[in-house]
Amino acid sequence: MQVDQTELLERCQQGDELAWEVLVRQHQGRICAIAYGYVGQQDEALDLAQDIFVKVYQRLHTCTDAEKFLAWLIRIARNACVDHLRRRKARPPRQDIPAAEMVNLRHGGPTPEDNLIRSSRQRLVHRALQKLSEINREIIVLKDIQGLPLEEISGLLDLPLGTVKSRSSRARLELAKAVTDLDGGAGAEAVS
Amino acid sequence: MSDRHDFENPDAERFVGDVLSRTTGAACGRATAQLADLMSDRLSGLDRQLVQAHLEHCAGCRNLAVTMGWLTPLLPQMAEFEPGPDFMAGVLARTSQVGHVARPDAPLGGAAGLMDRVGRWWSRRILRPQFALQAAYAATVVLVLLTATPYSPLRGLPHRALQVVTAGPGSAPVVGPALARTSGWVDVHGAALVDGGRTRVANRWQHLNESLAARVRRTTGSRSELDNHWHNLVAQARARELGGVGYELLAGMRTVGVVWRQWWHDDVTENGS
Repeated sequence: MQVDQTELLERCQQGDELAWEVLVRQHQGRICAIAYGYVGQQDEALDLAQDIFVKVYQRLHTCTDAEKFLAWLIRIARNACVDHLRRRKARPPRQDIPAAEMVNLRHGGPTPEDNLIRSSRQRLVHRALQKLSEINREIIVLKDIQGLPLEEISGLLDLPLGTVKSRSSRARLELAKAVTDLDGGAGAEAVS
Repeated sequence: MSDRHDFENPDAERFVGDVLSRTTGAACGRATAQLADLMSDRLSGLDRQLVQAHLEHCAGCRNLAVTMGWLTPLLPQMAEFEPGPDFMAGVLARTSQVGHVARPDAPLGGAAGLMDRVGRWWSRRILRPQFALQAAYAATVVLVLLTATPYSPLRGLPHRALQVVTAGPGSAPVVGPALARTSGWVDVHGAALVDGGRTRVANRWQHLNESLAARVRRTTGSRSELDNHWHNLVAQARARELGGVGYELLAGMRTVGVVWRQWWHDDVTENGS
């Protein structure tokens, strides 16, 4: 179902619950994935994603350009995630929570084996993301996972474009190293 | 390029490793630095051949290359994550409890418009996680520069302010004589003015009183929240939890924004929307 985004946003701003439901359905997958990429725990990510949508709802009237809605949404999500991580660092959990199982993959593979491999690799990547520095994790989440253009990331992170560009390759290499370390080296080949 | 069979011999591998360790050191750093380019076909010619030759003989870098090979197509597939049916219900339940304020059709004018714009500017700025710390830091620096250095333009101000407070408003520089003159004028003409304008002043005073009471009433919740943030901030500072102090400062400033908007607008919810 293709809904006109400008009209949808206007209806949401007027308080139309149905329009808001459609908007949430359209973007819930992306927001949950961003939250998951940042916090690395599924339950925590889902709670955070709900908070993000509540924030979005409260600030809907400040979004005046429907074409820039996605960038606006991602900016709110990113700031909420950074804020959340900062609070978590200030008040760490009493014990480590084991990495959550990520089972609800939107992109299914052709066979159950493919799904299993993909699911296992995605779990591995989420664990590896938590090993990265904050800036590298943000670049992986925003560029490699969400596919945002470098210019937009530069604005979001308040960093020069050149820095984002040079960080980009380095971040992916750091992620590959973290994955290989977690996987014990030989595992990378074994699952490929 | 050397014969492949030589390098498959463990002795030959060790020999190459020994030579490299005594000359340039292992080439892994240079190879990994070019891996991203190799994987995205941005590496060509001799550079490509050299990296490929290194991968042929270095298991560590080869593993890294294999990982990067499957990471590249996998990462974009992680852009969306299906949260399950309960998620939507949770969001709708929470947003239905939040008051919704539609965007005004036309911008407000006058003082209310100015206050509205200031409030919105504040809301946008406060979205930036670093803003609270940056603002506090900048304000401290400005205060110190204005009052606390030997060359500060207002270096005597705290002392003078203390004197004024002790001696009464008539001793204030510049304003003091004016206050004294005004006081004398009021003594002479006050009775006539009071007789003529008592009713108007009383009405005006009642209106102001009611307006003030309404503002105090509608900001009660937010001010209480602000008070909580202040107590938490003091507790975090005592515990030397800098992260906690930062968070409470940020949350407190956000609440100040809400109090500000509630003070000037009577249709602002507890959440500041």
